[in-house]
Amino acid sequence: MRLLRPAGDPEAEDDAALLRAVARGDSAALGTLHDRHAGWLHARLTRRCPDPETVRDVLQDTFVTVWRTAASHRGGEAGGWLWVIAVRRLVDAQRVRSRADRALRAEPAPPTPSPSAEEHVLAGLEFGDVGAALDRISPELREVLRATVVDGLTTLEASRLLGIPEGTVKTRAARARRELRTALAQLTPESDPLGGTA
Amino acid sequence: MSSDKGGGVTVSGLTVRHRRTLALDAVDLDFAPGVHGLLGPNGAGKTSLIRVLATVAAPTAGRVSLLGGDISNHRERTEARRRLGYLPQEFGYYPGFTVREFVAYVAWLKEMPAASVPGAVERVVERVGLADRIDAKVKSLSGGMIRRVGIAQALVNDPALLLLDEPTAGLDPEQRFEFRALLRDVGTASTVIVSTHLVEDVATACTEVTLLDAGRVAYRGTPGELSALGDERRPGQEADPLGDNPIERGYTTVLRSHRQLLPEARR
Amino acid sequence: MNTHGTPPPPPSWHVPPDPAARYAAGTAPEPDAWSLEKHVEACGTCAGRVSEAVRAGAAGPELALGRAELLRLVESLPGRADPTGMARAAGTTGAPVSTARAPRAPAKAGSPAAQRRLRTHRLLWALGPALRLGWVVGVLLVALGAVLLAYGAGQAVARPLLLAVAPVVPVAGVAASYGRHTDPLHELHASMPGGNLRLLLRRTACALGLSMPVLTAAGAVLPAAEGVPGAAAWLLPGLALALGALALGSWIGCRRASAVVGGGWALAVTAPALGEEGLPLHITPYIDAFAPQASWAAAAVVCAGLLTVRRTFFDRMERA
Repeated sequence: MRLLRPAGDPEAEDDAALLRAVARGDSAALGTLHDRHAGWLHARLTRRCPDPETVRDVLQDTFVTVWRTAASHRGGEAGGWLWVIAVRRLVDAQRVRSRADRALRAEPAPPTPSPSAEEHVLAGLEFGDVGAALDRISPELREVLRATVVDGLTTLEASRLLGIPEGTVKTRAARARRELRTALAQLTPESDPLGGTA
Repeated sequence: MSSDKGGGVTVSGLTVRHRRTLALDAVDLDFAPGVHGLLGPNGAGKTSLIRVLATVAAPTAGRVSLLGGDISNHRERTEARRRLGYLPQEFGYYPGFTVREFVAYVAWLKEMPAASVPGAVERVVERVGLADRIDAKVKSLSGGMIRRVGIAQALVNDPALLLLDEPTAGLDPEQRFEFRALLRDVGTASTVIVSTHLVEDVATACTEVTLLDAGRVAYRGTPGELSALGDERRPGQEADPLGDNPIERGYTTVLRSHRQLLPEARR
Repeated sequence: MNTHGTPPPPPSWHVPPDPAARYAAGTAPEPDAWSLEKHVEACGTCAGRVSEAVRAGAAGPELALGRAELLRLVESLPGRADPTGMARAAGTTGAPVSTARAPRAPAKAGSPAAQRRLRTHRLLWALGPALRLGWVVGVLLVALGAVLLAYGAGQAVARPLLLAVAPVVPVAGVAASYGRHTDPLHELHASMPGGNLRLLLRRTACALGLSMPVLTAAGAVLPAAEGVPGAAAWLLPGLALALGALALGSWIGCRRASAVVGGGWALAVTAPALGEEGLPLHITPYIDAFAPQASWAAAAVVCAGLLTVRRTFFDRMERA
C-alpha cells in the first residue's frame, strides 16, 4: 500500500489508516476523519442542494454509514469513497423530497454511462481548457454534466437529484458533450481532448 | 432473503363484517413487493384490511393468500406469521421493558433463531434511529420514539410482508421524512402495505396507491397517476392558495366520483 | 468509485489557498469547483485544507455541532464494547464496496454483555408481563392474610380458607395476563407464531410456579386443625382448574373461561355449606383423602388432553 501511494502525500495513507481504525471501533479516528472531510463534503453538498437541513442530515448520515461500514473500504481514495456515499444519500433524500409529480416506479437500472467521454472531460479539467469551455455552455447542461461526470451518478440517479426526467438527462448530457466539444474546438483548434488520448 | 418465495399478497372476495356494518365488501386486491399506500377516509376499511392481512382477524368471506400460503390453513398461516411484520394502530407495550428487551421479546415470539436475536435487535433499533436509547425504558420515551420502537419491532425479523397501520401518526415532520426513506428501503425487497390518511405519505414513499372508500376499492394506481387526476380536474390552477397539491386533489376527485357512483356507499 | 485497485496518479498540484477559500464560501465558478472537487476526492492534504476553510466560514458552528453529535451517537452504538473489532470486521467481510450504495449495517453480533443481559431477561419476558403486579400482590396478600388470620385472630379457619382460595389463584393469574382485555400486546401477539398457545402456556406455568410455592408455604406455617387437609392438598385441584380454564378458553376465550371456572369453584365450595354452623366452607371433602385427589389428577390429565386436541384453536383468528 505504502509503495503504491504517491510520495509526498502522507495524508492519503493516513486516511486508509484512519478508516482501519474506524473499522476497529475507534471513535477518535472517526473524529479526525470528520475534521478532514466533513468540511469539503458540506460545501460540495451545499452546491448541489440549497436546503441546509438536508445537507446536514445527509452529511451526518454519511459519517454514520462510514462508522458502520469502514471495514468494507478496500483501499482507494477515501475522499472519493466518502463522496459516493454522500451523493447517493443526497439522491435518496431528493427523491423523497420531490413531490410525486412522477411515479416512483422501480425502473431498470440504466447502464452506466460509458466512461470514456467522462474521463476525457475530467482529464481536461485540470488543464483549464475544458474549464473555459464549460463557462460557455448553459447552466442546465452544466448541471447535468456535473451530476453525470463529476459526481459519477447514473442517468437515473441524476434525474432524481435534479428533478428532471431521465430522458431529459440523456439528451442534455449528449447536447452538453456536443457543445463542449464545439467550445473546445474554438478554444484550442489544434487539439481535441474529447476525442484524442488524454 | 425470504421475500423471493411468493413475496406477494393476494386477496379475493374479501368481506369483513363487524356486527351490522360491512367493513370490506368483496374486495379483490393483490400486492407485489414494493411500498403500497392504503388511503381512505376514516371507516373506509383500511384497518380491517390490515388486520386480516396480519392474520389477527378472520375474514367473514373470501380467500387470503399471504406469501404463498393460505391463511385459513393453520400450518401455512404459522409459516406466514414468521415472515410478517405488523404495527397495529394502537401500539401497546409493556412499560417495564427497555427498548432492547421489548424488541427482543417480539423477535422471540416471531420464532427467530435465538442466536441471531441480539444482533438483529441492535441493528433494527439503530435503523429506526434509537441506538442511543436502546437500554432506556419504553415508558420513558416520547410518543414519536415509542412509535419508532413499534416500527423496530415490526422490522426485527426482516419481514417479507410489512403491515403498518397509520405509522406516521405521532411522528414529527422530520421523523416522518426519515421514516419514508426507511419505507422505500424496505420496499425494495419486501411487500410493504401502509395505511395512512396523510396523502403526503403516499406521494413521497409509495410505489402504488390503493384508495378505499366504504369498504370498496375506489382507485388503484401510482401516486403519479393520482396526481394527474387532480391536475385534470382543475386545469390552469397552478398554485393552490390552500396549499393542497395535485395528489390531494386527485384523492378528493376519486373519492367524489366513487361516491357519486355508489350513493348508497356513504351510508 | 476507485475500487479497482489501481492507485490514482499522484496529484500534480495542490489546491492553492485562494480557490479553496472561494470554494468554501460557495463563490467559486463551476469549472474551478469541479476540478477542485475531483482533486479533493483523491488528495487528503487538500481535503483537509478545504475543510479547514469551510470550518472557518459560516458552516463552522454547524460542523462542530455535527461532529459532537456524531461522536456521541457512535459512542452509544453497539459494537463499542468490542475492542478487538472482530465482530465488526467479521460481519463486513464480503460486503460489496464497488457500489458503496449506502451499505447496510453489517451483521453485528451483539456485545457479549448485551447478550448476557438478554439471556437473563428471556426468563423475565415470560414472567414479567404474566405476573401483573396486581396479581402478584394478590398472591402475597392471600398468603399473608392467611398467616395473619391464623396468628393474629387465632382462628383455625385460616387453613381451610386458604385451601379454598388457593386453587383459583393461578386461574386468576392467567386471566390477568393473557387476552385482549388485559394484555396491551394482544393485538401483536395474535399476529405472531409464538404469541398464542405457547405464550399462554408459559404464562400459566409462571402463574403456577409463583403461586404454588408461596401459598403452600403459607399453608404450612398455619396451625394444624382437626380434620383439615395438609397444606399441599390444593396443588392438584389448582393445577386441574388452571388446565380446565385453558381448555375451556379454547371455546369461549380465556377471560370468560377463567370466570366460569373460578365462579364454579366458589359455588362448589360455598353452596353446600350455606346452612351449616361455623365455617361456611365445604372444602375438606373435595380435597382430603386419596379418592378426591386422584379425581383431580385425572381431571388435570383430561384437561391437558383436551388442551392438546384443541391447541390450534388458540391461534385461530378473531371473528368479528
